Amino acid sequence: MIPSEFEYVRPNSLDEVLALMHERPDDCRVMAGGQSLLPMLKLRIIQPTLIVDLSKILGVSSIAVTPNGIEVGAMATERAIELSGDVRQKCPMLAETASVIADPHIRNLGTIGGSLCFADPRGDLPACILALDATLTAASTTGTRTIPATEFFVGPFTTALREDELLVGISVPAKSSRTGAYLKLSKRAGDFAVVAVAADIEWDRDRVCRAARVALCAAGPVPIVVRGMTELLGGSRLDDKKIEEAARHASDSTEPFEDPLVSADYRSAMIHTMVTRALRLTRERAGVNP
Amino acid sequence: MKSVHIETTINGKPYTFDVPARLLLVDLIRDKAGLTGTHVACDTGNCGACTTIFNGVSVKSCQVLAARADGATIGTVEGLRTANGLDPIQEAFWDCDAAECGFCTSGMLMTAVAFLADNPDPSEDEIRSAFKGNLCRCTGYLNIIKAVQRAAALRRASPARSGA
Amino acid sequence: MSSRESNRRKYVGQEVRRKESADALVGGAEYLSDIRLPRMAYAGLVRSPYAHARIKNVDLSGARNSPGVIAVYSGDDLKRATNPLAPFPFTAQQPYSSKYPKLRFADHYCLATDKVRHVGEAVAVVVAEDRYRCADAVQEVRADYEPLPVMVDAEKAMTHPQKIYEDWDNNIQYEYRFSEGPVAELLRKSHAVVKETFNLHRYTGTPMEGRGVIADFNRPKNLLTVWDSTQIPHALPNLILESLGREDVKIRVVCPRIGGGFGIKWGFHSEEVLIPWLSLTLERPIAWWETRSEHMVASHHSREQKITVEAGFSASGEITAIKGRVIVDLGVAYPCGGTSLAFVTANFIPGPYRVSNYEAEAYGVVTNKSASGVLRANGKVESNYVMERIMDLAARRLNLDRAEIRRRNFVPPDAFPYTCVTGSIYDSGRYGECLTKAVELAGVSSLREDIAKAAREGRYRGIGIGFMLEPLSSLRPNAYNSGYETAQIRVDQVGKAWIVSGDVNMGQAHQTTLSQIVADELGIDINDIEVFEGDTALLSSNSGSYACRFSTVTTSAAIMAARTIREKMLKIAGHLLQVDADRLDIMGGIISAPDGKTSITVKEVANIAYYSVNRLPKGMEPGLFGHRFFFNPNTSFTADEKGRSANFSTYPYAAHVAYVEVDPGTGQIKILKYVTVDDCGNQVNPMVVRTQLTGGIACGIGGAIYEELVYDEDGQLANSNFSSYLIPSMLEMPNLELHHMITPMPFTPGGFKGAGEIGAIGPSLTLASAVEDALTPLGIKVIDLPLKPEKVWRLIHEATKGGKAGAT
Repeated sequence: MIPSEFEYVRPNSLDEVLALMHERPDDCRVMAGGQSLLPMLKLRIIQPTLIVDLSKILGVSSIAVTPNGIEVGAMATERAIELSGDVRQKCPMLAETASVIADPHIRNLGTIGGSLCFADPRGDLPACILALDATLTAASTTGTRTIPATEFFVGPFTTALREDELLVGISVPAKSSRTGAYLKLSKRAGDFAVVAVAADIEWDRDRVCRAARVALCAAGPVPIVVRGMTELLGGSRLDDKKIEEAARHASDSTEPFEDPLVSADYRSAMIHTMVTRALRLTRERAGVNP
Repeated sequence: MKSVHIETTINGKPYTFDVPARLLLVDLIRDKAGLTGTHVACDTGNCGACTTIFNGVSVKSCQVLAARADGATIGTVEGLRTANGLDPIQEAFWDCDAAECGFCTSGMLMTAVAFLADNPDPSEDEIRSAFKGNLCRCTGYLNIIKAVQRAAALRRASPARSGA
Repeated sequence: MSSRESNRRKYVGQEVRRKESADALVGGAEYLSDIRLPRMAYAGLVRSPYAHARIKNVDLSGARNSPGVIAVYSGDDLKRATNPLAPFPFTAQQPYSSKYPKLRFADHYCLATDKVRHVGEAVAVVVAEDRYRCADAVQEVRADYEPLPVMVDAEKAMTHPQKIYEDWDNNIQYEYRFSEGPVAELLRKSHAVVKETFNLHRYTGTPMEGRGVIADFNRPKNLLTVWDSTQIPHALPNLILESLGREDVKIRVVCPRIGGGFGIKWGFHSEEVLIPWLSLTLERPIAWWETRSEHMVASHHSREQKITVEAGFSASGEITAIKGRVIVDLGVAYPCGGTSLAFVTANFIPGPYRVSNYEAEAYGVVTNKSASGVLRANGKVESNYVMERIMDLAARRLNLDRAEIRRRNFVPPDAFPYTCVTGSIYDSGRYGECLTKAVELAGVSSLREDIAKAAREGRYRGIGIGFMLEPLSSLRPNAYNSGYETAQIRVDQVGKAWIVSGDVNMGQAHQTTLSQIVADELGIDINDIEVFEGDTALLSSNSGSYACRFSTVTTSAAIMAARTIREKMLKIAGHLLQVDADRLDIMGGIISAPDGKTSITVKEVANIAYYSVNRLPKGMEPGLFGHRFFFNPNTSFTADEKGRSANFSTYPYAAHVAYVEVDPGTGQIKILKYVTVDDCGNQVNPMVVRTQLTGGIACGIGGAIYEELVYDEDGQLANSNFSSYLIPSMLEMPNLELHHMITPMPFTPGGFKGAGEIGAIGPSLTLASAVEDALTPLGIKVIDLPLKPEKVWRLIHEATKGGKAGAT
């Protein structure tokens, strides 16, 4: 219940943060919303020497619509994303994902950047941004670089960021016509997922599927993009037979971990169930009649 | 620095502290400011017994470092009551028998205060979603839902008396 | 009622707002961890990460040198200085004179010495100036263990050569047998026999406030004050002094406001010896309270039982005979009441049904898990569950309506008081009427139409019905639950009433309901009454708050004590007014004669009783006091030659009906409607009754679906905090339709039966019934708990084996 001792700084600017991360790459632990960090500190799962509080830095928490899509600052809170009119209009699946995370108190402080960098295999936002084909922007003292979401999550609780890099933004590309769904199966609402599915479908003018992305949360050591969805679903109107194929493929191509509280075969079956439901819901939202 | 200097406002009153950097906000409130109405009931940020208002939004104070209180405005259950009496939310909880052992109650009240400020006329579903981070073992929740509905009605009837 | 008793009920039966909420709502209630004493130091415990191991060495040096540390001790220090934990709930190690139950005890010191036997057993303690540095120092203690084989299966442990306690001849701590009637023969001759083995899972109560103890030894006064978040403050002085071996010290136990108990704070725990010992040794106030993670391993669990029931039925559904076998997984043998579980469950499997032929064997078996102890509706959640499942299965086998088969077997209303086959005397009841009412109120026939419609859409909806009987207000021979309660009331010089009760304030509105009762008896205003609970300096009663005793014995003692005062006030008033006391009444603080004009106030009488004592009737002592004791009616301490004993006194009951939809794709259960009819006798405060029932049902839903404590083969607990041990939130709680019947308890002055626990019994058995009904097309049986989605899904999956259902 009580963290071990640490040093603490609360820089006023992004540059100060980056400089610190450059000077002390080994023992710098940044704190965004703190909602994943605090339990780890309290249970002493981690015992960092320095905590760098990001809450005072400006310019990294806005949500903006651009011609290319939506730009979300890494420090935007899950609550802000959930309630943002722009997100709800331009990328409702992102708002939907945010809304099923934990509870409102946690979402008031928890940030998208913090959640993505924490890279919990059961985290909701990682699967979501994979399905959205998002790009992440990382900054360091040497400049910025972009990382596709598909290359960001490299292991459980491990990202592609270097030790001196800070995630500063997430870009969700605009697609001409897309619908999606984030469906989460958890024991109680807001809990970590037993399994969750982020589905994103691009439709052409005739309401035929042009591209499909399905990402899974809690299905393995990292959030997983199910391979071959566009090949399977492309050219179809997501009829039930196609959806069944896609769901079976998703289930067959994943190997969920065994866990004392949720067995692997149940998880596998739930991947099938939830992919089916997510795709049906996506189809329904697109007003597509197969 | 392993310690931090904090200048903060709690329930409208200014406080200054010099405390270890690792101090949790809930411990600042309970041990340093002596306001023990906010409680700790778990260690993983699940139960919501420690819910307070932080810069206008509800947060779990055990999930925040005290250091963040510097420059912040904090509201706790002790600040709900005014010279004129109880806040409508407190009256509503009382009328609807929404408190039993009382350990989760301050968290429920502060959640209600924050929620109703943004949602003056909530549906039952909206109330349930708003409180999913506040666990109770005694009441079975249904009276709390009624209390929030009643408080919403009381606040709509006399807006001048709304709380924190 | 004569005019000697209250003629008008002003408060009892009314929905009076709780007095206790006055401070809870403003953050003013003082719980244990709110107490601050000068020079208070903090204790932290070092706990074993192994389920079974020899302790090779405990190195305290790192901790001793840690900043802010005052002292560090290990098991050897405490073994030298203290006695083993006293055998609560018994006052002696040989409480029974009959052949059964057979019971033995283990010597546990407050810190483990040679061996640890469960994950979380404490091996060392650190005392520091503040909690933060205490936590740091706890990490610095280095304990070395030699792991031993772990036993986590109670049934295997019964006959396994590997013993948890080496000086026992096996792992059976408790054994009980009962036999009445030619059960085997009757079963053989029965038209139908339903036999099932039920595996009931382990879970716990998790009150929002965990356990905690603060001790302060004042040497000049020779007074040890102990604050404890406990349900049994009055048992603790004896228990603590015996375990400390310090009969020379005066001890006062104070129970502050408690953040929930549910039976988890009924027990005698290591810390309740250790913390007082630290204060005696260090002569400073010492405080300890558990974190949630600590609570999950250091406080007790419950409900884990394997029960086999074999019941015979006639062709028309009457029960012929029942045979039961109960195995309770007790975890380690701590004195927290787990040994009652096997007895209670085995005693009450027949429940509300007329059964004359019954045979039971019951075992409490130790394993390498946290101790099992009492939990809300202790042992009766289990007994009601198995019998109700049997009744549903019998109905199915015999093609009878589920409500009808129950009605054919209920103890009928004219049979009360009814001595059941195991000897308990059920006080009163209208079981059939209750069940029929619940079924009608639920609108079962229109629900059936709804179910058919849903079925056409490929959805699975169903109705569950369940009946539950809850024996309450217990006693036990040679034990701390000695079967009575007391209340001490004083009306003071200005007519205000001060009540001292031995119960504790943990959310059941005792202070409000006692005030209502006493206000009516004394004819005064409810705001002129103050109630004190949980302080051994004020009262010496021997029991505490559990098994809804408050409703039976505490309220009765309070009524009698109030009547003592009322009689005296009327005698004084009669003397002063020159009116026969029998003709006087008290209302609104005024004592008046039938003419309505001749009167005197309570305040005036009180003033005279204390000051103008010359005006009292000749020979009458001053003051207005009442201190009475009330004993559990219809109970007995000793078993007869057949092993029958009446250990419980009051028997509320209820019928629950649930309407659910089962999602075959995920196994999730959605509760669409939940209807109850409860009979808890007279109700002091109907609003409090409804809240208590609702809270109980929430606990029951948690235990039915969401909560389970999962141990692996190494005795490691997989879910030891609130992110993985899931209690229902507001989103999991359905709306309820609560209805009542009132059949007063005939043997107490108030007629109350108690509503605090019975809600917890209903959901597991009612939802099991509903899920089975919903999945009728698949022909599945619901046997084991919990009804978590994975388990329900697996039942469906097995039944369909990859076929069309499991329709997504």
